[in-house]
Amino acid sequence: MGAGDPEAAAAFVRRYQARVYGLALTVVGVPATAEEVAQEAFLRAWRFADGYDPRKGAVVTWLLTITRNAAIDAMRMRRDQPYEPEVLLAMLSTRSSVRGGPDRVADREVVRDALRALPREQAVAVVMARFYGLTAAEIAERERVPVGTAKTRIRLGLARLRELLEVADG
Amino acid sequence: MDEVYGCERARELLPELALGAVSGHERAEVLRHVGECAACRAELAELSKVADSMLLLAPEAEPLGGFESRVMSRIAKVPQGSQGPQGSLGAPGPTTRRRLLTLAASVLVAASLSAGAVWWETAPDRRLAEQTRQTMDVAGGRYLKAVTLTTDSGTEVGTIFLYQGNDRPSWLLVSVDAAPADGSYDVVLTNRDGKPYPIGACEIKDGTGTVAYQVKGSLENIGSIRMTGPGDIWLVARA
Repeated sequence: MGAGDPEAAAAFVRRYQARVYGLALTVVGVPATAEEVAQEAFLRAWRFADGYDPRKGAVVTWLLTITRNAAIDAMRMRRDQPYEPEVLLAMLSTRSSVRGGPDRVADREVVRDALRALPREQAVAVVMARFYGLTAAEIAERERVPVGTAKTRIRLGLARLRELLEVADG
Repeated sequence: MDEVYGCERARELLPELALGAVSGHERAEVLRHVGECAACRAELAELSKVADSMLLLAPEAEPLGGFESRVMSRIAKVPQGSQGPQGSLGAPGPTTRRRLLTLAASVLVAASLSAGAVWWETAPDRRLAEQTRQTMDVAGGRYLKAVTLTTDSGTEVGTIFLYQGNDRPSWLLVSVDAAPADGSYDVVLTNRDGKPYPIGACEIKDGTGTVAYQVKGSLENIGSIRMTGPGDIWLVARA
């Protein structure tokens, strides 16, 4: 490890630890598990840094995707129960105090407004899939609807989100 | 084209794939189609951007103090010689380390431009590099660096920007936005050889304050910047 590398890595951790830990806690719901997941996410980012392609997105979304996957892995291993859909939706729909400039907050609020604009059943379907990694069949079982209905909700929900974000982008 | 997973069938599954909610045989089949079909690949990329943006909605939360140290300790234990994601699991090789430094550098530059932080972070690195070069050309400098200012317990309270002039004076700008107490803070640079250089004071009111100083010599010699405030409160940034 060359001189200065640990400081660069430490700066990276400091910059994103609240985002990473916050997402981990949102998914697993248990602080001790979230700490393990957050550590694991940074470790994976370090190991897999070659896999980051800036053409495919920002560093933060790459890191959060790693975190999401690590959290889902932990949740499945421990069989922890995730939050109920309404609780998760409420967490995601509530404006939180964030560090960073006003543009960063505005960017997040655009996504939040788009999620709020979805019909409840479509919002539940997309957040359960994205944050808990649930398949259409698993969502169908939880929501007590046919699998085809869950698939339709996912498809329509994500399509609507895309439309809303494109409109917001102007 | 695959009869079962042609474009029509694949497009039905792309939203679930983008959300990470397809597994097993279905996932393998739709990925095979996407690998062969540029139009579906482009569609998947667009849907994935939307799916990724959802993760930004998770509320931020600070882990227990010392988190950074615990992560660094685990990174230090990663065995040398194993490979990154293109191969097997394990520790980063030199290329991986360079990549992480690139990531870290992109973070530092993004932090230095608060108003445009989102734009910078979401822009491709190539464009970022181009604009950074342009900025340095206009400013007549070699580099602009930003480091986080924290309390002794590691809570972020501000940023220190370091500008290394080329044929112009170098400067340092202290920007505090969440100091634990108001008052006058003495600012001291410490060189890498441990020698301290008091450079002035920064007045903090309502937790915020900004002050800039001209710095002689190379900024690379600076090891840390320490601010000591009322009640012996101190804030520190590692350069």
